[in-house]
Amino acid sequence: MKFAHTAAPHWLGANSVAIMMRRVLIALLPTLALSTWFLGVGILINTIFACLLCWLLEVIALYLRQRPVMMYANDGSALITALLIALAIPPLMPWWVTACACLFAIVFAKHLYGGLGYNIFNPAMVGYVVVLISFPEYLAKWPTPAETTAGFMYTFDIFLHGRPSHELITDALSGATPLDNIKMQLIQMHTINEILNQNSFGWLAGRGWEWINIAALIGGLWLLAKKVIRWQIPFAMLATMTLLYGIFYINDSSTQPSPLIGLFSGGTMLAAFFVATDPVSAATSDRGRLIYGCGIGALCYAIRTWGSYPDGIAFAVLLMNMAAPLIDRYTLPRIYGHKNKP
Amino acid sequence: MSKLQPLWGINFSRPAIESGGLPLITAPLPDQLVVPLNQNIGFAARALVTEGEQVLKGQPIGAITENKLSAQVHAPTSGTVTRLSVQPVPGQDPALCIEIRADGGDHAWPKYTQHKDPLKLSPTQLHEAVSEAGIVGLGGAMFPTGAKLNPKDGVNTLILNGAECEPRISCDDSLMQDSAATILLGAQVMLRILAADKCVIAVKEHTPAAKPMAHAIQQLNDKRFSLVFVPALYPAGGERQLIELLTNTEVPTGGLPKDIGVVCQNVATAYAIATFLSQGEPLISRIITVSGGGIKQPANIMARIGTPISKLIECAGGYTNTASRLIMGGPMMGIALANDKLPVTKACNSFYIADTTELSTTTELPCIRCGDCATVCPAHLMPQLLLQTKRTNDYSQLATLGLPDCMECGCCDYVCPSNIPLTLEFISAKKTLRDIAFGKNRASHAEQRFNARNERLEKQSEQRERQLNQQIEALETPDTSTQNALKELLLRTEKNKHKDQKK
Ligand code: SF4
Ligand code: SF4
Repeated sequence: MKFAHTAAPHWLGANSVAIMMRRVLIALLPTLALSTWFLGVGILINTIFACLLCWLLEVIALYLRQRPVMMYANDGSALITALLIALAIPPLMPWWVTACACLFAIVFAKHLYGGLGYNIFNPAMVGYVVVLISFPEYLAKWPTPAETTAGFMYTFDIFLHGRPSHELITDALSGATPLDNIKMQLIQMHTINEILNQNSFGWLAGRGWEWINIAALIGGLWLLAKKVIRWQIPFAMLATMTLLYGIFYINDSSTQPSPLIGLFSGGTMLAAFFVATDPVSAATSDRGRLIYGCGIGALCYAIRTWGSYPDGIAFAVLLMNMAAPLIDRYTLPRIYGHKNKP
Repeated sequence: MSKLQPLWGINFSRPAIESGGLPLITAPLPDQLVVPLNQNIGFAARALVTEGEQVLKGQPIGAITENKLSAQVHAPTSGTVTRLSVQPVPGQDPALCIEIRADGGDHAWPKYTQHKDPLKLSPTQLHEAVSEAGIVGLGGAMFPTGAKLNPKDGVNTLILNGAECEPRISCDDSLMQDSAATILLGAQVMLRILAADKCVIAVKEHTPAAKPMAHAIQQLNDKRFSLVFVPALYPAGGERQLIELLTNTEVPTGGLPKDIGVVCQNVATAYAIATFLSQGEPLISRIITVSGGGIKQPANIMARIGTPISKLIECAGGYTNTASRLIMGGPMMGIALANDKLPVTKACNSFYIADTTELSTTTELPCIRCGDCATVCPAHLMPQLLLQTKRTNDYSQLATLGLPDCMECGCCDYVCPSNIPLTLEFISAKKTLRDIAFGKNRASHAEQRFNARNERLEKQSEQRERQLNQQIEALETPDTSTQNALKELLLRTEKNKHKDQKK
C-alpha cells in the first residue's frame, strides 16, 4: 500500500485563530449587555454599525491586498476591533465619528501594516484615539441619566444627525463619566467623600460602571480559564494600578480615589483583559508580559491622575505597544543547556 | 518517588486502549528478510557474507568498520543469502542490504556462550560482549551502545528510560511488563561496565508496567536501583528532558549527558544486553508498537529485524479503510513512509497508522504572537521569534536565539492556532545554519592556506632583503682588497679620460 509523505508532526491541536477570536467575542457579550443596560441603546446601535462597517472594510482591504478574502474575513478579528471601539466611545455618537474610528482601525492600523499578525498597534485603540483627538466634543459627552433612558428614536437621531431632534431636561452633572467627575470636582476643591456621596456613584465606583467592569472581569476570567489569554498582562496591569492608587490613597485619602474606584471605573477591566492582552501588539515572553502589563498600569494611572484626559488607557496601551518588541528582545528566557540568556 | 511537574510540553489525552494495554504478540518468521547494514548512527557495517552463502541465526553478517563509530549486524534467522544490493531503509539513507531466504529451521549459530551469571565477567569482557552483540540504542536513535558505555567517562548515574517519549508508543511498556527481571540484569551489567553507583528507572505515571517493575526491583534487592515516575507529558521521555526532570540539571548545549555524569539507556537496550549474555542471542529482534486509527487490531509485536513492515501490519489485523498515513515512530516526530515494503530495523520502535480523522489539513495564517508555542517549548525557545528571524534570513541572529537547541519535537506546531509549520521551518533553517557553518569552515581552511602562503612569501622577501642588506653592508665596510680594486678601476678610467682628451 502506498502512503502520502508529509512532515512531522502529524498531529495538530484543535486550536485555531477563529476559535480564539470567537471566544473573545463571547467573553465580550456580558460587557456589551450591561453597557447597553446602563448606558442606553446607543451602545447597541454603535456596535451593530461598527461591526458591519469593520467587516466590510476588512473585506475590501483584503480584496485590494489580494489576500484570500474568505479565509481571513471569517477569523473574527475585525469584529473584536468593532466591539472594542463601540464599547470605548460614548453611546450617543453620530455615525461619522464611529465610521472614522473603524476606518483608522481597520485600514490604517491593521491593513497598512500588513494585516492580521503584523499590526504594531492595537487597531481598536488607534481608531479610538484618532476620534478622541479629532472629535473631542463628542468623545467627552457621556449620556446623562435622562438620556440613557430617552429611548431608541432619540438616540438614533443623534446617530444620524449628530444632535437630538428635541431637547431633554438635563440634570446638573451632564455629559461626564464618574472619572471625569472626580477629576473636575477635585479641581473645584471637593473632597473624595463628598464626590462619592453624589448620585452618580454606586456601591463600588461610578454607578453602572462598576457593573460593566465586573462583567468585563468575568468575561476575562473565562478567557483565562479557556487559555485564550495568559494571566501575566492583566495581573501585572491591575496589580500596578492597585499599588499606585493604594499608595496615593493611603497618603491622602481626601483627594485621592481608592484603588477600588480606580479598578472598577472607566475601561479598566475591559482594557486589562481584552485590549492589553491583544497578542499581536503585546509582548510575548512571560516576563515581557509582566513588564508590559506593569507599564500599561502605571501609564494609565499617570494619565488619569496628571494628564488632561480622564481615562488614559488607550494612550497607555499604544505607548506600550511601541515598547513591546524591545521588551521581548530583553526578556528572552534562558535556553535549555545554556548558562546565560541569549 | 518525587512529583515532577515541568512547565513545558503537551498533555495528550489518553484513549481507552492507551498503549500499555496492547497485547504482546510474536510475529511469525517471514520467508524473506532484508537486513540493512547501516543500522547505527555511525558508519555502516561491512558485509561478511556473499550471495549464495548459508547463514545461521545470530551469525555475524556485517562487521564494524574498524576504529569508527559502528555496530555489528547479525543474521536474524538461518537461511541462504540471496542478494546483496542497495535498497531504501526506513528513516535513513538507502544502504547495502543483505537479503536472506529463511529455511524455516531457525538454527542458531553455536559460537556464543550462555553465561549463568554474567555479572561474574569482568567489565572489559562485558563491554566487548555489548559490541559483539551489535547492540544500539533501541529508543530510535541507534547510537552504538558500546561507545556510550565508556568507563572512562566518569559516569555515576545510569538512567534507564522506560518512559516513552511519544504518545501512543508502548513497546517499552510491554517489555517491562513481560521481562522486568531481564531488564534489571542488563542494567546491572551496564552499571558494572560504567562503574556507576546509581540506576534510576523512569516510567510514565499510570503505566501498567510500574507494578511489575517495582516488584522486580524489590526482588533484586539492590540498593542502587530506584523507580521514578515522570508525568505523562510529551516529550518528557526525551533524553535531555528526562535528565532535567530526574536530576534537576541540564545537559550543556552542544554537550552530552556524560558531561554531567549521566548516561541514558533505553530499557529495551538493557534487555538486549541481558539476552545476549544469558541466552547467547545477539540483537536480532525487538518489540514494535503497531497502532493508530488506521489499523484493525493494534498490538505490540515482537519481530525479527529485517521483517517487512507489511508482515507486521498483517499481524495487527491489516489496515482499516480510513488508513491514510504510515508513520515510523510516533505521531509527533515520526517519519512518514511511502510504502510498507521496507524492512524493520533496530530503530523501529513503532509504526503509527494514522487515519483520515486524525490528520487535519488546515491553511496557514500569519503568526498572531499568542506565545503558546513558547509556553510548550521544552528547550525554552521562542518559536515565534525564531520564525520571524528565519523569514528575514538573519542566520547569525537565529544561532543567538538558540535555533541549534531546537529538538524538533513539534510541540510548537501542535499548539499553534495559526497552523504554521514551525518545526519544518526550523528543520530547514537548522540545515542552512549547518551549511553556513560548514562553508565557514571551508572558508577558514582557505584563509589558513592563504595566510600560510603570505607568511611564506613574507619570509622569502625578508630573506632576500637580508641578503641585499648584507651586500650593501659589505660595500660600505672598509674592506681593503675591494677598495684597492675600486681605486685601480677609478684610476684606470681617469687615465682613459685623459687619453681621450689628448686625442
Ligand atoms: S503559536 Fe503560532 S501564532 Fe502563536 S506565537 Fe507561536 S507561531 Fe505565532
Ligand atoms: S520543535 Fe523546537 S522550537 Fe518547537 S517546541 Fe520543539 S524544541 Fe521548541
